[in-house]
Amino acid sequence: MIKNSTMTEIPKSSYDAQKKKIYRNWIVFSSNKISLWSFYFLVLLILVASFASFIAPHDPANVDLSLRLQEPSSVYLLGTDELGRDILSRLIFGVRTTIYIVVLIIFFTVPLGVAIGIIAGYGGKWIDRILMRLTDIFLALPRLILALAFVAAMGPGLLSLVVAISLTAWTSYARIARSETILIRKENFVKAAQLQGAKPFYILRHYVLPLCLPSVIVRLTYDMAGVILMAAGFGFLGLGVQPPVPEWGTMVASGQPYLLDHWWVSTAPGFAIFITSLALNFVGDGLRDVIDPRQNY
Amino acid sequence: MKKVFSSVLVTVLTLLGLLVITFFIGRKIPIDPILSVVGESASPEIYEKARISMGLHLPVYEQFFLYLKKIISGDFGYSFLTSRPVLEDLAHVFSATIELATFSLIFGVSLGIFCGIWAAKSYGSWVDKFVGGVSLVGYSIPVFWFGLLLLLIFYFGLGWFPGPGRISIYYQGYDAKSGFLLFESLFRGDFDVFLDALHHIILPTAVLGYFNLSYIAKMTRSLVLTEMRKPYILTARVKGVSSSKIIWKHIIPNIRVPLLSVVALSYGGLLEGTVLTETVFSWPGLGSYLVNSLKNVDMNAILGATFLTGVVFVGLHTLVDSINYLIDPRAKNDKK
Repeated sequence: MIKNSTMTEIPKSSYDAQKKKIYRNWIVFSSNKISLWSFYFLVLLILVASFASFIAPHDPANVDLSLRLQEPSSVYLLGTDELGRDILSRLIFGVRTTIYIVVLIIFFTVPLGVAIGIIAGYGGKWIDRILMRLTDIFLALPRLILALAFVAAMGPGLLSLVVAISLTAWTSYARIARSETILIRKENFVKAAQLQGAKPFYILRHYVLPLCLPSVIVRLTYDMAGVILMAAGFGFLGLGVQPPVPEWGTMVASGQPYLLDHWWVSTAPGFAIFITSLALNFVGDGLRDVIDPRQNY
Repeated sequence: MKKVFSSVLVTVLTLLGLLVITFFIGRKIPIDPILSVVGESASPEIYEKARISMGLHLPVYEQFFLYLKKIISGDFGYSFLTSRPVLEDLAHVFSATIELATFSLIFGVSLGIFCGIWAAKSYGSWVDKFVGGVSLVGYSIPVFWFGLLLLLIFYFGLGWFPGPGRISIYYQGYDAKSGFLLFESLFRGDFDVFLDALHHIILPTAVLGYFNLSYIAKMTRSLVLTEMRKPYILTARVKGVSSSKIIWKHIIPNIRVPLLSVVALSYGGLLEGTVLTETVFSWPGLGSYLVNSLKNVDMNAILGATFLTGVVFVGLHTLVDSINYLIDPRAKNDKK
C-alpha cells in the first residue's frame, strides 16, 4: 500500500525491526488527520504543563478582589474569576492537576488489572473462574456512586479521589488482558517455550505481556478521557482536589453562581475539559486503527 | 439449569460484595462513627456506652452479620440532615430520579437506535461520519458543563425553557402522592401541571440522554455492521431483497438480544449520571439527595443511596442475563 524503502528491506537487528515497526505504525496513525492533530494537541498540553510557570501570564493564586469578574480583555485574555484571579493562568496550571490525577490512576489501575487479566487467562480453570467472578462483581457495581461514597468517607482530596476511582477502574484492563492472553496462550511460540521448560511467570513476562500491551494502551487512551470527566465531575461537586489548587471541574463550579452575567468564568474551564477529553478519544480511535483496522465498526 | 444456578450465584455474590464494601466504608473509615453520634465533647463513659449500643465492641464478622440483618429488615438508620429514616427519604426522592432517567432512556434509545442504524446503512458516508462525530462529542462533553451551557442559552438567553427545578413555583404545592409527577398529573387530568412538568424535564433529559444516545448509537452501529458482513446477508442481497427489508427482517431480529442488553445496562449509567445532572438542574431526586449528604458527610444517607443504586445495578445485570436466557434460543438449547 505505502511504497517506502524501509518496508521492503530486511531488518538488520531486533532494534532495527522495532524502529521500522514504529515507523510503519506512525504512517498508519498519521494518515488519520484528526487523530494526528489531537495527538499534537495532547503533546502541547504536556508542554504547557511542564512550562506552566513561564507561559502563564499571571500568578494563578493571586487574589485581588478589586479585579473580580473582569470580562475577557487584552490583559486578562479569558477574564478573571470571583476572586480576581486570571482564568487563563488557572487553566494553564490546571493542566498539571489533570495530568497528575490521570497518571496516578494509570499507575494504580493498569498494572493491577493487567496482572489479574493475564493470570486468569493463562491459568485457566479455577484461577480464571475465581478472578473473573471477582471482576464481574466489580463490573456490576455503580462505579461513580461507590467512588463518591468512598471520597465522602475518606475526606475529599487528591489521594482519596485517585483511590476511589481506581477501586473499580481496573476491571476493563483485566477483561482485555484476559481475552488477549487466551488467544496468545494457544500460539505455537508459547508452546515451544513451554516445551523448553519456561516457567509460567517467564512466559507471562516475556511472551504474553508484550503482546497484550497494544490493546491495553488503546483501552487506556479511551479510559483517560473518562477519568478526566469523572475527576472533573468530582471537582464540580466540591469533592475533588481542594482549592486553592487550580482544577478545571472546580473552576466550572465556582462560576455557576455568576453564570447569568459572567458567563466566561464557567465556560472556559468546561471547554478545556471537553477539548482534552475529545482529543483523547480521537487519539484512541487512531491507535485502534493502527492495531486492528477491522475494529472500526 | 447450571446456567441459572451460576447466574443466581453471581447475583448473590455481587450483593454480598456490595454489602461488604458499604460496611467497610461505613465502619472502617478515618471518621470515628461513634464521635459523629455522641459529639466531640462526650465523656469517656458516654462514648463507651455508645460504642456498646452500636455493637462496635463485637468482632468484625459479628458486626457484619448485625449489619446484614439490619439491611435485610430495611433499616438503613436515620439521616441526621433530615432526621428521618433513610429508607423513607430514599422512597421520597427516588421517584423523581426514575422519572428523569426513564425519560432520558426513551430519548437516548429511540434516537440512538435510529442514528446507529442509519449510520451503519450508509457506512463511510457523511451521515456515518456525522453520527460518529455526534456520539464522540457525547462521550467527551462534561455533563455538568453541558447542562450549564443549555441553561445559559435556552433559559437565560432565549427563554424557551424554564430554569432549574422540577416544576414552576406556583405549582409547588401540587401533591403527587406517588412521587411520579408527570404520570400522576396526566392520570388525574391536571394538564396544566403536566405541561409545566413536561416543560421542566426537557433540558435535563437532553443533557442526561445525550450520553445515552451516543452510547446506544455507537453500539447499534457496530452490531448492525457486524451482522451486515455475514454471508447470509449477501445471499439475501443476491436474491434481490431490498435494503430496508434486510435491516428490519434479518438484521434487527438477530441483534435484538445484545441490543436489549446494551439498553438495559445503559439504564444503570443513567441512574449514575443523575448525580451531576440533578445538581446542575436542582432536580429533587436521588442524585441531589446524595450530593447533599456527601457535602455534609451524612454517612447513613450516603450508604443507603449507594446501596439502593447498587441493588438496581445488580438487578439490571441479572435482568440482562435472563434476557439472554429467555429470548436467545441458543442459550436455551445449551444444556451443558
